Amino acid sequence: MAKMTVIFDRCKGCELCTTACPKQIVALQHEKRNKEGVFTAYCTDQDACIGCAMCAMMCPDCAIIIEK
Amino acid sequence: MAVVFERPKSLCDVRLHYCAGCTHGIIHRLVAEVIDEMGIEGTTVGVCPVGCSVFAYNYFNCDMIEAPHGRAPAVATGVKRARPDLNVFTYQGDGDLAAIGTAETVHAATRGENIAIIFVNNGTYGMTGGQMAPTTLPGQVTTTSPYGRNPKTAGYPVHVCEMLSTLDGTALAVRTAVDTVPHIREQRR
Amino acid sequence: MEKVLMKGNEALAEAAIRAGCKCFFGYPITPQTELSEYLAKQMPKRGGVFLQAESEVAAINMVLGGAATGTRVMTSSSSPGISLKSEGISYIAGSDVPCRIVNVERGGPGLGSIQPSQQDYWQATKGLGHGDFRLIILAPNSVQEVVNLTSRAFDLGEKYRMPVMLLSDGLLGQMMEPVEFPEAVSEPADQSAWAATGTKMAREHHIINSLYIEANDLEEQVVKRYEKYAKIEESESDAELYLCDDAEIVITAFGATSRIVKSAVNKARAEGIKVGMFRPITLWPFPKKQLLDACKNAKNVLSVEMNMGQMVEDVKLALDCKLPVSFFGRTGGIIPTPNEVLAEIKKLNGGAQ
Repeated sequence: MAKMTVIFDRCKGCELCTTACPKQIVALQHEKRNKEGVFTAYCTDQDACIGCAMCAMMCPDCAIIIEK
Repeated sequence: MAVVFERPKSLCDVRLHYCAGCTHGIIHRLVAEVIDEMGIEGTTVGVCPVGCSVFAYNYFNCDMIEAPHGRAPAVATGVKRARPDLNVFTYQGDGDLAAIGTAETVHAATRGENIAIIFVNNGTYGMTGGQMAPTTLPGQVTTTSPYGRNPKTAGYPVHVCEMLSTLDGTALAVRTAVDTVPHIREQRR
Repeated sequence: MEKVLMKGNEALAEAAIRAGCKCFFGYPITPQTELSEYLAKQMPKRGGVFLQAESEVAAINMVLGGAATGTRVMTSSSSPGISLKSEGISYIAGSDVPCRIVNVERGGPGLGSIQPSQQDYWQATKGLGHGDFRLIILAPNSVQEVVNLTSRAFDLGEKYRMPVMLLSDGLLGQMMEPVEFPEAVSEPADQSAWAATGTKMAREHHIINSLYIEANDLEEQVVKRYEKYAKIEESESDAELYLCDDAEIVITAFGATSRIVKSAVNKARAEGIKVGMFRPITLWPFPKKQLLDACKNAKNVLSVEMNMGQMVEDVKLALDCKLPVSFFGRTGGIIPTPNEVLAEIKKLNGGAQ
């Protein structure tokens, strides 16, 4: 059981994390913009997250926290 | 559940000004992770000259000095010689390090200054909007090489690591990319 | 302490070590050479750092780095080298970092000559790099004063957190005079409130910086700096007045030239001409009040310089253009003689009668 959290206002929506995820469970949501005006990344399936932290490692803005 | 990945302590908890997806953020984090691992935040002074990363003084929790364009290795030399007990690093782009600051870089290296230079090469001048840099590849289009860099008129890119590794004073010159997670892991080592 | 015979450049170097200068960063250039060579010999033996940089540009940036740690550091050069350093000096001023810069002036423009000159008056007082900023400029006129002003330069720099320049010239640098080193030298002031010395995890990080991307922030910083400059103008200006009390002709001269002028004044006095000399010791701040005092009985003012009259404007401004100010000078590395100056005094004396 692992948990991926995106710091909402830090995410710039660059999508580097979406390409890094080996499970392909990181994507941009298209419902709510943050204060920068961008649609942020989120984990589409928390149960499938293995906590490998590859998304966080790829994130240039330290906007992802991984718990395991 | 425990946190297994978060912001390193020596990186300030602030929003970075870099463009979305710019890997300066990754490299900042890698530097900060190393500072954390070595436990040297309190004795580290960073030097950041002109370029996209000029605001890095707002991002690292250690003492920071902003240097003129290209002059970071000289400023770092001054810090280290005045205070040998401090750990000193510079964080420079390719225009800064390999064009305007070539002399400072080469001579700091050949003197064997006990400093770490983090060289971030994106092959262009980013801050001013994408002009040709000393590391721009032949044929690469930039705003000042709009027809692609022509080696006949603009010369060839500088191979920085190869050049510095010929100097006796250089302790270590390594090069890697930050485009993928394995590369990022490799860089951290 | 007993007097020793020393060259100006070497005396300056020795005085710097005694004043607690820990690091010297320089690049070879005539006529400041002996200064660097002396420090290259002495610094390693006396717990200091001598480093020959790859360029003037690198040297001044090493000064920026060293000074940013709150250490007493200095660099020295001669005219063309100071031009190269002006980028770094602007950054140092913009970062509010204290340091000491020595200019042993030579002839210009361009490569000019290696002979003595005072052609960098404008550069030193008005044009040392881009931006709104000032440097305190000290202009000694003897080897002894070179020594005396050396620790004062460090003290002033630290007091106001700004670069201070000692403006010497090829004449002062090369001539030998007996000199006495003061027993007590100034102690470096505590710089821990701002210096980059490592946080030791016990405080917020210090940032040494001249960049303010928001225009309002930059204006605020510059205005604050100008408030400091106003205080310096108020309290730090310094001058020597020689036989000015009854002087109808006042000669203004700074640095080595004032020695020649003093001889000419003495000769003129022997002939009964009421002439005196005003010598600014601080070129910035220019000692305006002292000049007005010196000229209280004056009918004529003559500026004598080893350039084409760069100080004349400051003299006129300080006098509010209320007195006629004429000029005599030699340039290109030629030193005016006392007799030449005496002839100018006589011309003015004839005109005044």
